[in-house]
This record gives sequence, C-alpha cells and structure tokens, in this order.
Amino acid sequence: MIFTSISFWAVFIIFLVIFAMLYRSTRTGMMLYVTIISMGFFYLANGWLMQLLPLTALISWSLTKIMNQYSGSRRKILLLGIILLDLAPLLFFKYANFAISGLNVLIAGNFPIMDIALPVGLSFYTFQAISYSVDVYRKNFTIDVSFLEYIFYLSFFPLLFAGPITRAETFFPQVRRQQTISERLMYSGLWLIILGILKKAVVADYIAQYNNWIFDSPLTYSGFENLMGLLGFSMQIYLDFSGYSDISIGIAALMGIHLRENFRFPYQSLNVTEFWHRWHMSLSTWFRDYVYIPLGGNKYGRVRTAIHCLITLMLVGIWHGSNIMFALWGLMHGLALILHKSLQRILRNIPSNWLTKPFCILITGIFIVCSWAVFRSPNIDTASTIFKQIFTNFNPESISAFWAMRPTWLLMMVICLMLLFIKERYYNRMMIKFIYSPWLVKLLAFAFAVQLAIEFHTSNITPFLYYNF
Amino acid sequence: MKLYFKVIAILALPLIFVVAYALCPIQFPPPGWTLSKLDLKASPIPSQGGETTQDILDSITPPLEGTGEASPDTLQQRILFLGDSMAEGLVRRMADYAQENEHNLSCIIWYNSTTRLWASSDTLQYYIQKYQPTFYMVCIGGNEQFVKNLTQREEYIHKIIGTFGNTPFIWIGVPSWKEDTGFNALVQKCVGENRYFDSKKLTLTRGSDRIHPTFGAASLWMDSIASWMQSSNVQYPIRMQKPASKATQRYPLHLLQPTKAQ
Repeated sequence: MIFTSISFWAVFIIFLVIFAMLYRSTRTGMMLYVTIISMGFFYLANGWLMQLLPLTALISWSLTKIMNQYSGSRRKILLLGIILLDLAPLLFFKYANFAISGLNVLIAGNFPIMDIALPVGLSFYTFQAISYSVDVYRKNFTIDVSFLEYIFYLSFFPLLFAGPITRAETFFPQVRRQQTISERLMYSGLWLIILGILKKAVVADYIAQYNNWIFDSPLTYSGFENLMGLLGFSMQIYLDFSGYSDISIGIAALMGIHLRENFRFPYQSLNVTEFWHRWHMSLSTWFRDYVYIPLGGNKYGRVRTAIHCLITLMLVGIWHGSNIMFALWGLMHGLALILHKSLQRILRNIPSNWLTKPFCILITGIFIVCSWAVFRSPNIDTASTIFKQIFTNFNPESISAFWAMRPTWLLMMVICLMLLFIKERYYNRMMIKFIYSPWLVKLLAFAFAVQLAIEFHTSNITPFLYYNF
Repeated sequence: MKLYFKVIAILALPLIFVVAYALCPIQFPPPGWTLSKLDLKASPIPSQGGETTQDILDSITPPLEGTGEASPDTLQQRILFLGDSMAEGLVRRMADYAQENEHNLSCIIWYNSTTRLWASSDTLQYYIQKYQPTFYMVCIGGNEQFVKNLTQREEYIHKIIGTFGNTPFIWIGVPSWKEDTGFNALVQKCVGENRYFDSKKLTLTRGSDRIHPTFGAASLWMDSIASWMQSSNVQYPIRMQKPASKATQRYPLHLLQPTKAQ
C-alpha cells in the first residue's frame, strides 16, 4: 500500500464514503469495518504473513489482561514474557539472517541463509503492542479495552506500515469519545495530506534519482557532485519520511483521530539533543520511555547515563536494519549526545543570539549530514569514498556543469532548504489560512498537488524509505 | 456528513479529472507545454527476473557462444554503431571485427546520452544520411538504468528503431552494475528477443568507477556479441568471424559531448 499511488486513493475514497456513514451510527461497526480494510491492506503487502498481526494481537491482548490481574514479581515476569513474545517475530524476520551470517564468520560455519523477508509494518505494530503492555503494567493506561478495540488499534492502516508509533493513551480515548469530527481536524488532515504528497511524490522521489547514482558509485563523480548527493540524501530522507508521516496523520485525522506531529523542523536544531526531540519523535520518545528510562536513564551518574544513551542510540540504529552501518550511525549519534551532555555547562554560558544560533545550526547540520552518509552507504568503503571525493577531488569546475545539467534538481534543493528554515509560527499561520480558506481553494490546492506529483512522477513509484525498517 | 462529502469531493474530483485526462486522446493545453498524464499502465516493479551483477564479483568470463546453426549474410555491411559511454570499449574491438569481416564501420559515441536525446534530436537522421548504413548496432541505456518514466522511454525507443526503417539492427543491453528499474526489460520487449543481446548474463571487470567495463572486459563482451550476431538466435545474422589481429584501418568515430536535457 503506497499512499501516493492513485489506486490507494481510489480505494480510500470509496472507503471513506462507507466510513462516514458508519462513524456516527455504530462504533463497533466502524471499528470492524476499518479492521477488515486494514487487514486487507496488510494481506496485500505481506501475503500469508498477515496472520502474524491478529496472532500478535490475540497473544498480547489476552496476556496483558491476565498480567493486569496480578501484582509484584508475577506481573513483572508476565510482562517480560509478553515483550519477548511480541519481539520474537521481529527478531526472527529482521535479525535471523544477520545472526546466521555473524555465526558463520565467527565459527567458520556454513549455515544456510534463510529465504525470509521482513513483513511490512511488523516493526511498527510490534512497538505499539509493547508500549500498550508496558503502559498497562505501569498503570499509565487504565482503560479496559476489548479485543476488537485492540486489534483496531494495532492494525489501524494509516499507522500500520510506517508509523508514527502511537500510544494507547493517545488512541483509545479518541476512539471512545466518538464525537462529530470537527472541521478544523478534517481540514488540517487535508492540509497534511497535500503537504505529504508534495514532500514525498514531488520532491523526495525526484531528488532521490540523483542521490542514488552518487551512493551507487561515488568514484564516478567529482567531490562537488558527491557533496550535492550527500545534501540531497539529507533532504530526501527528511522529506520522504516526514511526507509519509504527514499523509498518515492526515488520513487518521480524516477518520477522526488526532495524532501529534512526528517531525518538527529537525534541521533547525541547535544541537544533537534537540535534533532527537524533533526527528521521528514517536520513535525517539518510544526508545526514551521503553529503553532508556528502564535502563536507568540519568539517575545513576554521568558514566551510567552515557552508557544508557549509547545503548539506546545503538538500538535505534540497529532498529533501522541488521547492518553494521546502521549500528555505526547509532553509535555516532550516541557519542554526539554524550558529548553534548558533557559540554552542557560550557554551552549554557554561550549567549543565544543571531550570531551563535546560525553557527550552532550549521555545526549540528554538518554532523547530521555526515551521519546520513554512514546511514545511506551500503558499506564503510562507500562512505569513506564519498568523503574522500569531497575533500580531495572537489573540482570547482563541475559546479557550473552541474548547474547546466541539473537546474531543476538544484532549484528544488534551494527552495526546500529555504522552506526547512521557515519559522514555525509562519507554518502554523499558513495551515490556519488553509483550514479556513474557501472549499474551492482547498480543491484547487489538492488538484495542484496531484498534478504536480504526476508531472514529477510519471511512472513507477519509489517505495517509502521507512518501509524498509 | 455534509463535511465528509465536502472532503470526499475534494479528494475525488481531481482524481476523476486525472484519470479522465489520462484516458483522453488529446493533450491539454496544446501549444507550448503539455500537462503530463497519469500513467495508468505503470507498474511499481517492472524489472524482469532477479538477476543482478551487484553481488557478483566481477571477473572476465569466456564469451557467450551463440547457439544453433545459422547462415549469416556474408555480404559486406555498412555498420553504424550508436552508443553512450558504455560503448567506448565495444567499438575498439568492433573495429577489429569490421576489418576482419570487411565491413565498413562508423561509430557515434554520445556521452551521457539517453534514448530521449537520440529520439528528440536529428543527430541520428544526420548520420544515417551521411553513412547510409545497412546494419545498425545500438548500445544506449547506460544512463537510464534507474529511470522511472518507462512509458515515455518506450516511446523514445520506438522512435529510434522506427528511424531505422527496415534496416536490420541489434540492440546491446547494458551490463547493469546494479538492478535496473526495468529499462533493459523494456528495450528487450520493444526490439524483440532476437534483436536484443542481454548483457546481464555476463560478469565483466569494471573500471575504477565500478560501472564501465575495462577495455579488456569490453573486448570479451564484444566477442560474446559477435558470436551471438552470427548465430540463429539473432533475427538477421551477419558475418562476424573472430579477428586474428588488431585493426589497422581507421574508421569514422564521432565523439559527441554531453548535453543538458536528459
């Protein structure tokens, strides 16, 4: 299921007509209807592996219910069991082959690699299932939910394939309230959908084509071209994933569920800590609440805090894939966070003004862009080649040739860069203006986004980057 | 409910318009620029098979031998070889074949070129008029391995092969260094299997850029093509005896510089 495909929107419009009729009349009917449609989408994406989702839902829901009847060590053991059971499919599908390869290297073995593929969406619903059980265990979430409600939550299709990871405490109260959906929620959803289409289908997919050439064979290109590819990927990954998140949140809004934003202008961050407060917020807060804090957080002194930080960020890296490069990316961010935390006393004395702020944004930006090179490269060799080309073969002559060859790409990058640094209040003002604009303006805005997507995206579709995770 | 229908109308009307426009035979607006149409035929993963050279350690392999008996046209041909940078190594070896088999060879290498450039410019017509070829060899596509607008590329390929008229030709597939987005399969579909040499079957030693074959590898690549060109697998076999020596004759070689519109 690709949110930028015409077939999805055709199905979604028909879906929405029936949903609108069910929404006000029967809550159970609505949930049953959405669950069936979500399962259908899940089946289309994963085939027979779709059974995993209802199975996980059944086990997780029933064991959490049992766990809730106990207290003390039994409660703890049951929670541990639920987490392990929830994690088992994810560990198997995502890391089994990585473990086999590692074992083969370690003991010079010859264990065959299994022919398995990670089911799309497995990571996201697994994390939601774990967060539900842990929240119930901690008594942060006390609402007694039925199995239908639970499976509706886990399989809710706008969030199923690439998040944002949504907590039970955000989701269930809104489902239960069942009030008339406000105009503001509806049109903010439409605004996000338009924005998401522009981000993903127009810009991210277009600039991706050039970035792929660079990361496939950096040696073929000059240092300047490599630098452009690196900047291009930094833009691509943000627009791709935030675009997807926008569409997901927008679709959920059309279905009456208000979700928090997943990205808040991350490239405006003054430091790495702030970056993680703005980037993929649903994932970073999930790791904070369910990994970093259970490990001990910052309660046990500086050294332990640093270790917890490193472990958490390494896990964030490995979550993106069973590849040494993702682990390295996590390690880089972990070390940067530790460095920032340890320098906080000095940094606090630096005044925040028009001179220091851009400098901090620049330094943070350079680190983030460099870390994306590690994230995107298939191996260390490719990443080092990119940097080597940038520093030893910059070739300024290629700048004019680049401009002549790729004016649209460059223009798109410049416009996006400017929009990335737009002030949040201007963005909010634009959204409000859209929400209260006449119906015809909204229609034209959506039509414009669709046609622009067709102009830039005449044929097949590049899957969302985060589908891989 | 009223609000829902307003939103549904916003979502549905543009989609109805783009689908209707895609099915409509006319372009709008006619002069100047055109409003692109939705590609209803597009499939997400058009690439055929799972073959890739990405994970294979490149190595020089013996040339692929064509199978089956064939009676190639033994007449002397005027061959026009068109290609992008991938063809650079091929034409060197092709010159040996041309001399050995007494063909007249003319080559045009257009760096960074694509089917779009060849189809939308009059370069091809110019060289056809100049050399009056009786046989074409094409190796274009190195810069289109990861393109997305395959339907448009199909039009360009048809335009190029349409320019050849009834003159026989072969199209040499690009030895992909990474799984392509379906361009090679598209060319094969357009030109037919007996006019398409699938280079994916070869593993070739690559140059420092890890994309272009080395001259040594390109030479073996050409040997494979030549062997196939006189086999019964090809629609119009021509004489391509393996040369015993290097070419001493000069042949027309036009090196065209990259241009911006791709």
